[in-house]
Order: sequence, then structure tokens, then C-alpha cells
Amino acid sequence: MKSKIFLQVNIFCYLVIAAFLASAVVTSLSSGHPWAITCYNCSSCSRSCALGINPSGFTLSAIGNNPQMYLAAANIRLRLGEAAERDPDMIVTIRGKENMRAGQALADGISKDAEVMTFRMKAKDAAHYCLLCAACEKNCPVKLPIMDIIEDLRDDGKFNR
Amino acid sequence: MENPERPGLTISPRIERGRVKVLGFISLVIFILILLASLRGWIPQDLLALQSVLVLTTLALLGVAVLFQQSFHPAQVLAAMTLHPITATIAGFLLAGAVEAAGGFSAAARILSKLGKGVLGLSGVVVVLVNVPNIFAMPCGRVWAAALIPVALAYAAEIARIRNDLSLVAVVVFGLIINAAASCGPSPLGGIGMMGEGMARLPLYVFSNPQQIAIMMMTLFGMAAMAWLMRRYPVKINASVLHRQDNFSQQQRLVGYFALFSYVIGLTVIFIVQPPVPIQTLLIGMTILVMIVGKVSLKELFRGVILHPVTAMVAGFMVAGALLVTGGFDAMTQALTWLAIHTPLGFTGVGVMLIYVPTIFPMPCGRVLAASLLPGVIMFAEVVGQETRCPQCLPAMLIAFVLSAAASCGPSPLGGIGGIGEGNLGLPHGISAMPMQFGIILGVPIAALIVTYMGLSVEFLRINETVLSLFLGAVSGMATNTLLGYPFYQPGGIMGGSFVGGLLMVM
Amino acid sequence: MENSTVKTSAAAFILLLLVLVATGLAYVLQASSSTKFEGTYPMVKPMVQGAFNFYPDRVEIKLAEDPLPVNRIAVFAYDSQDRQICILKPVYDRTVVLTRDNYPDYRVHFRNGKVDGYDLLQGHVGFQEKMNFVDILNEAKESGRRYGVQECLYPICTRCLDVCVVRKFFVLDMVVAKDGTIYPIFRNAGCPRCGKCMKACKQGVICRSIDLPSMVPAGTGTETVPYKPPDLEKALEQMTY
Repeated sequence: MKSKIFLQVNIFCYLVIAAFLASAVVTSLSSGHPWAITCYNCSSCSRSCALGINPSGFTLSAIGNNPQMYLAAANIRLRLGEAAERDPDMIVTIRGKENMRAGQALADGISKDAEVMTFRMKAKDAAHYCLLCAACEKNCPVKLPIMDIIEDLRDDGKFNR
Repeated sequence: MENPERPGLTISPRIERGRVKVLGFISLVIFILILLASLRGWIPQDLLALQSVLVLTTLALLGVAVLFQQSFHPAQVLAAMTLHPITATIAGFLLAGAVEAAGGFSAAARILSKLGKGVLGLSGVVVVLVNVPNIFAMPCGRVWAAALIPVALAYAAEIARIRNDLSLVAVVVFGLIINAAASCGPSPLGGIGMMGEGMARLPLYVFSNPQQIAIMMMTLFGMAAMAWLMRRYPVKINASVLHRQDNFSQQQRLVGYFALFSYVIGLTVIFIVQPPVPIQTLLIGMTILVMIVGKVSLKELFRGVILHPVTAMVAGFMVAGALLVTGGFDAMTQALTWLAIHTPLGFTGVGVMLIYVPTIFPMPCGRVLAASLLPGVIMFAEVVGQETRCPQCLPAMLIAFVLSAAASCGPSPLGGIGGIGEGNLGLPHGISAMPMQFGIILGVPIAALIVTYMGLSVEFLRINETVLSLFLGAVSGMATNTLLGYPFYQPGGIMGGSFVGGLLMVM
Repeated sequence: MENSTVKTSAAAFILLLLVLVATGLAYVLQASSSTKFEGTYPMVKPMVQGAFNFYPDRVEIKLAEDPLPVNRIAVFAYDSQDRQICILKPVYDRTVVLTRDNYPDYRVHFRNGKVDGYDLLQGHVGFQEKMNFVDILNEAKESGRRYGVQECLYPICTRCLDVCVVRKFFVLDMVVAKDGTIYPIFRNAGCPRCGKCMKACKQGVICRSIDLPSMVPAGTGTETVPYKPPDLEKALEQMTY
């Protein structure tokens, strides 16, 4: 009886694994960018980004059909008020000394006109600030069209393709 | 930001996280306890498979996150998953299954047997065979492991018969396994080394050659440790694996040779040309070709697919996703930073520990820890670089971590490649972990030393690296001679080792 | 014999017809419907001008207009080794403010007057060179070296060069002006007017000539005249037609 319960638990867990794997395929199809599952996750794209964005975060957000996913973006300068308005949970670096949430920084009394540097932001916000230089695409070993995702997210922050 | 306890030492604030998150530490503790329980065998595998343990751990961690009112999107758990090694493994298994069904690996065993009687001798062929995954590095070592373990078994069985030493089977097979496990580090087809190069903004493929040289030595150390273990604590090997049937007709043998050459030449061409096409597509294309020529049915094809490592990798990634959501990895980095500041270990000592974290806690795929801990490694490397004033500190520590992570899937008790070898040889579960970890601990610093003293370069056939590779190849050959019971100066082994050393620099 | 000749001719005719149909189909299907034939030569938008105000703790740059379309601009200064050091800054109310905690983002190398490559100076995990950009600007000003602002992000961005179908004939090329700015120039004689460079340039530096802003204020009753920077005029003089 005991081993039968464990057997059922094992089967359930294996089904969860299969469902997890299948969900990656389904969500990438839903995002309109199914080719994102062929990404090597090698971070070659991040080598060339002048804004410090890790563009593999865009492919990951397309795989999960989740434009709200956070990715590393360590070199975008903007005003604190703008950052907090876009996303209060955006992690920014204040005066080059400390990382904190943009909303928290405002609440702590830091001026909304103070310039901060991003550290981590949502994929849709990174797409908004992207320079669209396509340097990431050129470095991709399998030449994935990363700009397609960025341009898709740029206008309204949603996957529309 | 200046560290008040160490004046003059600047820790980049860009990596420091915010306030300590209790949830992160709780999830980290749960994860470590589960890992220990699996390593120690406290959770019986016959009742609860390790994949089930990992899935239940994921659900538990997400449950804890809900309890702490940590909001998360289910897609965040997906974010930790790297599909690349999973799909490469499946594609590699399919291709290996097709080649095996067509008789390709029996053909390989015959060819090796003939080569062993030639100039290279047994030890020369062994050195070349165990280093094939390192020379033609694939994004997941299982692509080669799936194909070459049967070949290595057949050839090792022949060596064992000739030398009258059954332990040599384990030495050769696990030498191949540790080499295959680590080979995803230097792979130019999306290897872990490329992740490190990308994150640190170093030129492409600079980590490749030092890693390959280090893996060659890592293999040797692992084989030596395995030989010592098998001789000190003799373990019975499943003798049935030593008797491989070869009842192929002449026509079938020809088809087998064709399948084998398609496989080897195909992978070599992919490796050299590196077309901008996902490798999985190319592997499936080769599979279809071999199926048509070898008249392989789908049933025979799927016989080659081993679900266990694939499901273990997916389950491992699920746990990593849950740890990302709960902040477990951030907690680990914070804990290590605290240790570095408040204990005599300092950043240098903790940096060394961090490098070996993937080896201490080996996961079924090295990328699980690599992607999560790389930013922390870079932070530590910067601080250690300031303390030691060594300009090569960052790339040296980075390459060491990458290699440690890459090789860690070999000894992992959670569905590592070592388990495939143990299963094939009928060895007790987990017995191969220690020798492989020994090989990793000794091999990893070699890559760091090469980077420190020779610097980084993508120059083709750089003189100092080439000389070192040839020399260490010869040393590897001499050691293999000794392991197989021959005099160390046996020319075949030395030639084989030097040949491997040269090929590593060319490829 | 006659029959076989007729048969051969008929077969040849049918084959020719098939080839023509296939060619026509291939032409129709491969032409991208989204690529518009602009029918106009590309032009370079007038470079935005900036007035630099140096203060003890900062530098403020007042721009003559808002940069398009990403509201971000590259501020540059040349160092003692004649390399262009750049920082990407946001623009608010046509003003760019540089403070002492601003570090440069990339550095451009030159050889024989042409861009020879670049280095990224800012890593995204805290890996950076400690060079204060305000000090670099002050040093450039005191040494008489060039500094300024530019919208073209070459060599970070090479989209126009990547899509140019006649790139190997240098119809589109990048020049370094006397004031230190880098921007594209066109040799119209070889330009097929495919419009790809205009579409590819997301900074709005390359556009259609009819889209260029006029330097003559609106409502004055005079005709609008497209503006070309003086250096560009000189470069155009050297082109062949």
C-alpha cells in the first residue's frame, strides 16, 4: 500500500516534469516568438550591449510569454521619478553607492529628478529604452532575431505577434 | 563603497543586494537539506525517485514563497531553465540511438580494436578515445557520452581481457565520462564557457583552449583516482557487459561503418564550420540520414533515448527556478559575502569555495548553478583582484568556476553522467563521485594558472599554449601507459597523448 | 523524324514556359511587401548642436532641439591618444547634465582617419574602468581637444551598413568630421534608393530628404530649404556622379 502511494507520487512528479517542459513550448508559441526556445543561453549577446542589458532576458521572457520578467540592465541612466513611474520595483543604483527599489528610493526622500542607473528591470521596460542597435543579434551564434522581440515589446509592453 | 572593516577595499555596490531576505535563507536551507538527504541516501531511491524529490522540493519552495506572501509569476520558474542542453541531449540520444541501431558503434569497437594493434597501441587509443568529447566539444557532454560509453565499454573489456585486470573497464569508462561531463565548458556551440565570456564581456572563445588543456589533465587525475579506488576497494563489475555480441553480416557491417562515419564526420564538420543553425536541428537531420541509410525503425531509435538524465535535468532546473523566485541564490551570495568580511577566510578564501560550490553541490546540469552564481563570482573576483593586485584575477576565477560547473554533472548523484556508467557496469550508486570530484579539484586550477601566466588570447596555435598542450598530452599518455600496466615510456601512449594535445589546439 | 522534331520543339517550348512561370512566381513571392521603394535618396539629418556650460561640479549641455527618437544622446570627448570617449545620457527638457559620478560607456579607436573599433567600458555586473567623464570633458576643453554631442551611435550601431546592398562599393560610409562627430555620408551615384538604410536607422539620423527639418522658421512665407552641415557639403563635392 505504501509503495503504491509512492508510485503514484512518482508518476505525478514525472507528469509535472513533462508538463513543465511542454509549458515552455506552449508559452513560447503563445508569445509569437517560438524560435526563442532555440536560444543557447550563452550570453554572447550581452557582450555587446552598451546599455548593459542582457538580451537573453528577452528570449527568456518570450519563452515564458512574460514581458514582466526581470532581466539585468546595468547601464541605463534615467531620472528616479521616471523609473518609479514605470515600475516601482525596478532595482536602481543610487549615486553609484547602493541598490534599491525605485519606489523605496522615492519613499526614502530621494528627489525624483535625481539621476539613477538601472540594475534590474522588466523586459518590457528594457525594450522601451533599448537603442535598437542590433549589436546583440550580430553576436548571437545562431543569429536569433532578438530585435523582433524588442520591437514587439517596445510599444505597449505586450507580445502582440 | 568602501568596506569599513577593510579600508581601501572597494566592494562594488552594484552587486550588493538589498536587505537580507529571510525567505531566501529558508529556501536555501531546504535545498541544502534535500541535497544532503539525496547524497547520503536518506531518501530511498526505490521509493521516491530523485526527480520526484526535486519536483516536490520545487513545490515546497513555491509553497513557502506563498506563505511569505512573495508574489511570483509561474513563468519566473521557467526563467531558470536552459532548454539548450536538454534539447541537445535528446537530439544527441536520438542520433546515438540511430547509429547504434545501424551497427555504428560495433563498427567503432572493431576499428578501435584494430588501431590498438597498430602504432598507438592500447594506451594511445585509450587516451584518444577518452578525450574525443574534449576535442569535439558539444554543448552537452551527454551527446558524446551516449554514443561513446558503449564503445568505451567494448574496448575497455578487450583491454581488461588482454591485461587481465577488470578494474581497467571502470578506469576507461569513467575517464570518458569525466571528459564528456566537462566538455560542455569549452564548447563553441553554446557551452558554459561562452556564458562566462558573455557576462564578463571577454572576447569570444578565449576560455576554450585553457579549459581543454585542463580537462585533459582532469581526465587523467580522475582515471588515476578511479584506478586507485577500484584496486583498493575492489568492486564487482557486471561481467555480462564485457561480452558484446557482434553478429553482423558483411552488409550490415558496411551500413554500420557508414553510420559511424556519418556521425563522426558530421559532428566534426559542425564543430569546425559552426553554422548559424541550432545544433539540435543538425543532429536531427543527421539522425534522419542514418535512419534512411541504416533502415532504422522508430522503435529502435527510441531505444537509444534515456529519459532519466533528461528528466533529472528538467527537475534540477525547476528547483533552480524556485530558488530564483524565493531569492535562494541571492541568499547564498549574501552568506558568502558575510563569511568573506567577517571570517579569516577573506574574499580570497571564500572565492575559492565559491569556485567549487558546483562540485560540492553537483547538480544534473552545471548550468543550473552557473547562470545563478556567475554574477557573484564576478563580484568576488573583482574584490580578490583588488586584494591581490593581480590583473588576471577576474578571468582566472571565472574560468575556474565555469570549468567546475561544467564538470560537476559527472559526479552528480542527481542524474549525473556518472550514474550512466555505474548503471552500465553494475556498480553501486555514487561510487564514481569521489574519483571524479578529485579529478575536478585538481584539474580546475590548471585552467586558472594558464590564464594567469599566459593571459587570454584567441590567437590560433599560440606558441606557449601549444607547447604546453603537447607536453601535457605526452604526460597524459605516459600516465595512461602506467595505468594500463605498461612502462611509462611506451611510445604508443606518448604519441596518442601528444596527438590529443595537438588536436586540442587545432580544434 | 518530323514527328520527333515537333515533339522536341514542343517539349522545349513547354520547358521554357515552365521556367518563365517559375521565375515569375519566384520574383513575386520573394519581393517583401513591407519594403517600400522610397524612390528618394537618403539624407543625413542635421546633427543636433549643444551649448556646453562648465560648472565646478557638473557640465550642462543645452540642445538646440530634442534628439529623435529615443531621447538619448551620446556625449563625447577626445582623449590624449585621439580616441573618442563617449557616454550615453538621457535628455530632459533639451538638457543633458553630467556629474562627477558619470563614467564613460564606450571608447572608439581610429586608424587613418577611419573608425577602427571600440571598447565597452561599462560592464553590467559592476565591471568598469574608473574614468570620470566630467574630468575627461574638462581636460579636453583645456587641451583644445574636440568634444560635443552626436546622435549617430556608430560603431555601436551598424544597422545602416549591415543592410546596405551596395556596401562593398562604399556608397554608404562613415566619416569623422572636424568637430569630432561621426556620421554617415552617401555617394548617390551608386545608391539604388532601396530605402533599407532609412528603415534600419532607429536613431533617425538617416531619413528621406523630404523629411528633413527646415532651418527657416515656419510662417515666414519663404520656401523651406533642406539643411546640410558644411562638412557634408564638402564631402559631397568630392563624390563622383
